[in-house]
Amino acid sequence: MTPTMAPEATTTATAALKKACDEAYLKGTGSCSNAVWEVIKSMSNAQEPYRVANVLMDHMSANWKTVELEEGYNLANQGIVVVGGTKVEQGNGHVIVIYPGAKKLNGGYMYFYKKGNKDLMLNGTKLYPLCLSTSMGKWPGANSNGDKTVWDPWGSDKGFEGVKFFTPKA
Amino acid sequence: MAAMAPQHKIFAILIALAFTFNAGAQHSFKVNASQCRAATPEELKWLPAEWTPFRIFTRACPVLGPGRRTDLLLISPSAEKFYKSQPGTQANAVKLPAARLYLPGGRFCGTLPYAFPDDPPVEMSVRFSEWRGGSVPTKIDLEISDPTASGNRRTAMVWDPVTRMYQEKNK
Repeated sequence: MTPTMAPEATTTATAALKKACDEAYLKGTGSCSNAVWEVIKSMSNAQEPYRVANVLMDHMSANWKTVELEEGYNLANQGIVVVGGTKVEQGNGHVIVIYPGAKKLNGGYMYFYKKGNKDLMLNGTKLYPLCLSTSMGKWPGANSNGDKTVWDPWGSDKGFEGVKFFTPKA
Repeated sequence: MAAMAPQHKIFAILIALAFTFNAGAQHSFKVNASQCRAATPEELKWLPAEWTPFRIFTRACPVLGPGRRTDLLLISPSAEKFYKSQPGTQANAVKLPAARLYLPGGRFCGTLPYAFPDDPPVEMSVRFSEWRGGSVPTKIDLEISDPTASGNRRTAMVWDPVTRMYQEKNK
């Protein structure tokens, strides 16, 4: 069940979460797990050890509460940390934080398709919560300071299918 | 020429069979997009209705077995041809139909995860192997290059002799 907070406490907590996301993004490490780590330390546990995305996914699966996207969206808008991500076997996983605010349409940016020599516009299909996401890769959807959605780092419904969301246990 | 003793004949047949089986086991075929051709009108009839907008961009790629005959056809829309046909330097990204596999007679036997050889922003290389003396490869190795958070990955599909379809491995 989603915990409830007084409206003024929610506003303060939401502003704090936004600030933590903004600061993590501005540090500009390009590493998704570092950005998420910064937010967790600010908002949930100052002693949280650093974990790479795949290890963090395992840690959250074992120790945090799994939430559906809609519940995660509501929690983020109460200033509570919700981390989403995917683990990639024999590769690098990716983790993000749900950024507080109203949902927006996914897509709305271009990427270059070299073989076709064209910029392709990824048009939106559905409203999703916003996200904090940083990445060293070239995918434009994977860098977001609340300007793109939780769907965009994965850039397709097929990719987003595997994303799981977690929040620290109260 | 001296007649072969029956036991020698059996031995020779077994050796030939083992050789054929071994050749099939070792053979592999990586699909090269440059060897694909425009799908024929007959092949286009095999495709579902959602392929209609992509019919003129549809390519058929023969999968050659150990005997150099076409054992399968990989049929896919060509993203390159589709997007090059769009005017200007920009185009809307579209959801392309995923590549489909057919036996040479037109029996549908599986769907790959993406269009071949690319489904922007994803690129996919496809290798068929392990014929095991049969008329179709029993394994498909897929190497997916993906710039999104899903990342680069390798996956495989295997032939299910009961359904006579390719299934994602471990599903």
